[in-house]
Amino acid sequence: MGQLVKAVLVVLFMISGSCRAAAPDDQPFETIQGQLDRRAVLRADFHQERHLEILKRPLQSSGTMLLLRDEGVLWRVTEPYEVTYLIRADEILEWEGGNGPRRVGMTAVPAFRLMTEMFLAALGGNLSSLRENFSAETLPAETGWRVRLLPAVETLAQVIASLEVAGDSYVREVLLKEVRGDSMSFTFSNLDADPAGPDEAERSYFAH
Amino acid sequence: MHTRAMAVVWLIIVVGGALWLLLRIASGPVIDADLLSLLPRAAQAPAVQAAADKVISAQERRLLLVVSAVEESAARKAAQSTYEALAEGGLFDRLELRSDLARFEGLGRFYFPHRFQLLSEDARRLLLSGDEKAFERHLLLRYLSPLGSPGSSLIEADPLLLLPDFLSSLRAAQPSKIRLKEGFLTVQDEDGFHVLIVGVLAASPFSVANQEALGARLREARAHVAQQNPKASLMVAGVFPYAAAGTEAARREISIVGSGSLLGILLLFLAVFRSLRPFLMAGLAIASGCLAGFVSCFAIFGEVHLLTLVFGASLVGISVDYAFHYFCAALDKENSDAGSVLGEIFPGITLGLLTSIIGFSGILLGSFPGLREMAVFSSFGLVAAWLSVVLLFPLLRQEAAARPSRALSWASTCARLWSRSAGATAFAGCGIVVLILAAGAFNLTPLNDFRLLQAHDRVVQAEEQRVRALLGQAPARQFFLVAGADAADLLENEEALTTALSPLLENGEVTGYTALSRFVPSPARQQVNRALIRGLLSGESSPFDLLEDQLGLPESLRTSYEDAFAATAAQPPLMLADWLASPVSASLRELWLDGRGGVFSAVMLTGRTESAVLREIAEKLPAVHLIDRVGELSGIFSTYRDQALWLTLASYIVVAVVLALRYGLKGACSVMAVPLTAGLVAFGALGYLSEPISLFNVMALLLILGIGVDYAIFFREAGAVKASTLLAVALSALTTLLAFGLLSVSATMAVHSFGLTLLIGIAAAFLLAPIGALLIAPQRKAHLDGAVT
Repeated sequence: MGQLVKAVLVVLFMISGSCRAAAPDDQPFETIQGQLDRRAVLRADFHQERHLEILKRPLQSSGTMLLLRDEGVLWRVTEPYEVTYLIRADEILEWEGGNGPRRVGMTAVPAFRLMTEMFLAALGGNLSSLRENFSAETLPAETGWRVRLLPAVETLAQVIASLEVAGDSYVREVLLKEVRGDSMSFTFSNLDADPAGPDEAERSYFAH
Repeated sequence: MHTRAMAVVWLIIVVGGALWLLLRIASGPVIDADLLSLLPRAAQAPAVQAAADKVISAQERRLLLVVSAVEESAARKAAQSTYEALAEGGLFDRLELRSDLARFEGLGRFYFPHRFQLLSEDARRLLLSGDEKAFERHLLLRYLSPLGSPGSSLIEADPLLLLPDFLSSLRAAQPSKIRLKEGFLTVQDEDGFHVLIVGVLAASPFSVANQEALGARLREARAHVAQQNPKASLMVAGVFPYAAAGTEAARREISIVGSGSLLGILLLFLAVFRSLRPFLMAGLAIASGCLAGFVSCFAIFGEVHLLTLVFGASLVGISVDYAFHYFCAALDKENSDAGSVLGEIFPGITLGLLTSIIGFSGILLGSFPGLREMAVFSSFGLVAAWLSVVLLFPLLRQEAAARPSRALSWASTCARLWSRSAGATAFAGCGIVVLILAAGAFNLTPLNDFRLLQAHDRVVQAEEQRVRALLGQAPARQFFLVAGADAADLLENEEALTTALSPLLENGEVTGYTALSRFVPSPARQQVNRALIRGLLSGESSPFDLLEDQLGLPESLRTSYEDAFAATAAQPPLMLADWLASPVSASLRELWLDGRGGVFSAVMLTGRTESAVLREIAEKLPAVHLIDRVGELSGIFSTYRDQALWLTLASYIVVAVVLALRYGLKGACSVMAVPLTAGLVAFGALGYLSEPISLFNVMALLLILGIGVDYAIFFREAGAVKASTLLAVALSALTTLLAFGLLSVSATMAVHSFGLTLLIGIAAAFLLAPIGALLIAPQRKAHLDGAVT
């Protein structure tokens, strides 16, 4: 039973305390922020891998994403199933098999909300918004930059071991390591230098 | 000697009444400010009624405070100091700034032992429909979802993710802008950060004492927040600010109407009688009238409603009428003694009192508690004022009143004008005016809702709207009350209701609901849930097959899950009582009501809901009652408006019969012509002014009858348009106009309507009153002239 309680806590995790790291190193945040291209529209292909200790194989999915700053991310999974998500700071909508939108239940859970925000911040290159809850150290990188974020608050630290973000003028890789050994990674490719705005079909998702 | 003895008895009664009133005021709260207590009770079973009252009073006590600032830390700091300032002194039953994290953690622990009996509504529907493929697809999607996918330990404990699915369904399904950040409920928008403090008042928001204490504390808190940080602010939403603003407005109006009419009367007295003594004597009549009004209301109703006081303050203007007639008659008969002055006016003011009381009895017969209180207040007040004039005035006024007054000579001039133009000319003129004004009555629009009773306060309203917009929540004004023989029965009845509600949820008419059965399904449903899970495990293709094939789930998890399922076969269902006793139910316990002869629960809704649709649902389910006090109001108001119209008509007929007995048919017609015409003029004018018509305008019509008939009677009794009568009627009309004119500026629609209708009606009645002296038979006139003894 204790296992499940902890497990539920994993989901409910990031209700963060207010203490910041003693001497926050804002330097990496500033440096990266300076390099990031912050345009209103971002298009890319993504590949997501989830490594779970308990499963023999990693869970993988891939597809395309469209980020509209201040509006959210349209996350279209093409493999292994076709399913579309609209991820906003305060809700996640799901379209699947001609049905939808269905509101994905977890959005009301505070920790999950924080997770969504972190995700949107990392994806949108808005790293400075993460400095409240993380301390940062710069890692060596062949091209661009690579930064490791360590939770600076107790409640986050109980769940997250580290968050690694790498990229150049865009975020290209996100790797989340959990304390209990599970991990999740996102890699982005085919980042469009001059992306087209949302077409009519995409607009209709955002209209919900 | 006989009258002197009666006067002494009356004085003793007045003094006794004053003492009793003082004791009563000293002994506890005397003023009620709850608007709903003015209204008739809906026809529902007493147990349902009592349960609904409990829910409503719990809802009314909720208070939402929002502390805003540009910086998040500033908002938190200001919220913290506001919280500390308000938490002291026992004003709140519950006041929460930082949300209790233990509650979230406790949730999983509490439900875990019962995980094979619990299913989210979505999962239950999928499994009931037998579409196992769809269930499996949803399960896979959960594993693969980009965010919030389960971790190893969760999968190990519950590979089918049924409990996390159930737990997340407990949270509101609608998007909410509120986020829990470091324990603070926070909303962020372009203006900055807004931190929420949720409170439940210890006392009713309508308690005037509570309003004073909390109102002062909130003012301090606002000032403190602004002082600490000029860009920070505190906003308040709930019933309390409305109730406090209503009391504030009523207080202001009582003092404006009360002191305004007193001041007007004082000036009139000094101008006309040029002596303070008549004013002091009139003051005695007014005071005894108000005293009697209070005492009778306390004795009959236990307390006085604030709105009654507002109406009651205008009684000042009516109760002074008898005194005016006394002094005007004295002016006219300078050398006569007090007894003969009284003799002259006695029939007139007595008949006037009688007709006024007939008017008020009309209101008493109606079953509208608020108006009954006003009628009692006014009737007893008028009787007392009349008694004071009749019994005390002759004793107090030993010598003749003031010197001949210029006012009296003006009055004679006017009276002569009237006599000359009397008869056919007057009738013709009136006829034209009435025709023109009555046409306005076609423009009347009805108004029958809660806005009538609510003081319109822009600041309060704007703040409430801002807070609602910030939170993005719209609690419905209606709710369901579900009855049951016991907890299990109740939960089943609730489930029947929530099933009936689901189409409304799908089409968006209802955006969400909170029901106990969502947190604790009925034992019957828990059994069904268990059977559904059993079916899933023992079916041809178990979802475990899929998880093992596609995701590489180890087979050991299937075995341990099935073992755990089998081990809980004899487990009793999760009981409502256990949930209520656990901290996880903290903010939801008030939905549960353990009443006499059964148990009840409230099902609260959010969204812009239509009563008709909800009522249809309630009608199909015998244990479910729709409670919509605000919605009922419009029905109540229109029913009572129609009832009041009939009562008014009946009162007019009764008064006409009484008058016919004294003046004959023709005389009665000429007297009745005054209030009838005045009423028509008033309603016509309201039509031209595009004023909405409600119960309160009809009630004013009843008073126009009482007062208009008085004026006509005074002329009739005088036998002609006499200067002293004209002066007396002019003076009483002026004071009445002053009082009701002041009522018409009220912020409360009901008071405003009442005042404005009377203002127009009384002005018309005054101008038309001399008609009452027309059509007097010669022999009757002779009789009148000789009857002054």
